Amino acid sequence: MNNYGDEFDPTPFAKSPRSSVEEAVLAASNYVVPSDDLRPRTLEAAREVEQDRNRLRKFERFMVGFLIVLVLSIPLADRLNTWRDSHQAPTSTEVERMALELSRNSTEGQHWSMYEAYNRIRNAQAARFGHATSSHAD
Amino acid sequence: MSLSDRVRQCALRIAESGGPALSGLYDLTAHRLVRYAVTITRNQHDAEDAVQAALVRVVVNVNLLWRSTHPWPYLLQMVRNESLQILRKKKRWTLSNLSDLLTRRTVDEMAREDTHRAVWLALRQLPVEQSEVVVLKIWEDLTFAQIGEILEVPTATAASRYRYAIDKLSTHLRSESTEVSCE
Repeated sequence: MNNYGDEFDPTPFAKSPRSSVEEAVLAASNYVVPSDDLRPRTLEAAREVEQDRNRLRKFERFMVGFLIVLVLSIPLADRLNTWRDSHQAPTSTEVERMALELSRNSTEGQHWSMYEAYNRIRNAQAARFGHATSSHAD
Repeated sequence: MSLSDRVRQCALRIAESGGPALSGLYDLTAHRLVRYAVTITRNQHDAEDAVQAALVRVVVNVNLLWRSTHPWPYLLQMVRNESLQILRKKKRWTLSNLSDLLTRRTVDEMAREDTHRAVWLALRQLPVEQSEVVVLKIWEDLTFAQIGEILEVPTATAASRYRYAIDKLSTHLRSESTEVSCE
């Protein structure tokens, strides 16, 4: 170990005690000082960077949450759709389409086809709800 | 407690409490970091920008600092990288005087101000790779091995740069004092 704390020192110069030049350099170490505004400037910059980072983190969390909700809601929506198909009454367009099909396949007029369509729908509903009621009763 | 340990403690505090805890690290290191950066950028304004950028980077990624084996040399290396980056962006020019520097003059050091100025001028006349070795060796009291790590050069290179730098400094300072005595 030499004077400078080095285990390996190839310079014979460094083995000698501090020269006057080194002493002069050492003495001048505190001659230059940071400006007064550097401290507030640095702390302010750090605060801004941290705020930006926090904002980004919040946005990332929101996006992750949104994705989780989206992923969970797709099968849920699918299930609700299936439930709607089996429990909700048909829309007027669907009834009209059914009536049109019935009138095409038979010699009956449109009014009777509409009546027949409603009749079938009501029978189907009665069968479904009757089945549901009976399964409830079970 | 060594400076490295104190820097690690400050880094831990930043990791726990965030940005506001940077003031502790600033108070501990800013003066040393600025004077080191000045020897690289040759301009106090740029040096302060480099120090500010390095300290903000510490807040962003404080784990790198407190997990480092030698936090103080690591911080010096960060400042060096920022200083070199600023130098790369700017057109190269060198000040032949010290007009950009903010200096401190205490009453008992008034008499030595000329010597201090001469030293700083002499340091500015050295190539950057030599002056930074002098600063790290004498002011930061680092070993040549540590200096080599910071500058990414072999230990022997750091040592020889130091030897050349001290030789040049003594020549500069000798000529400076001769000039003063002739006047």
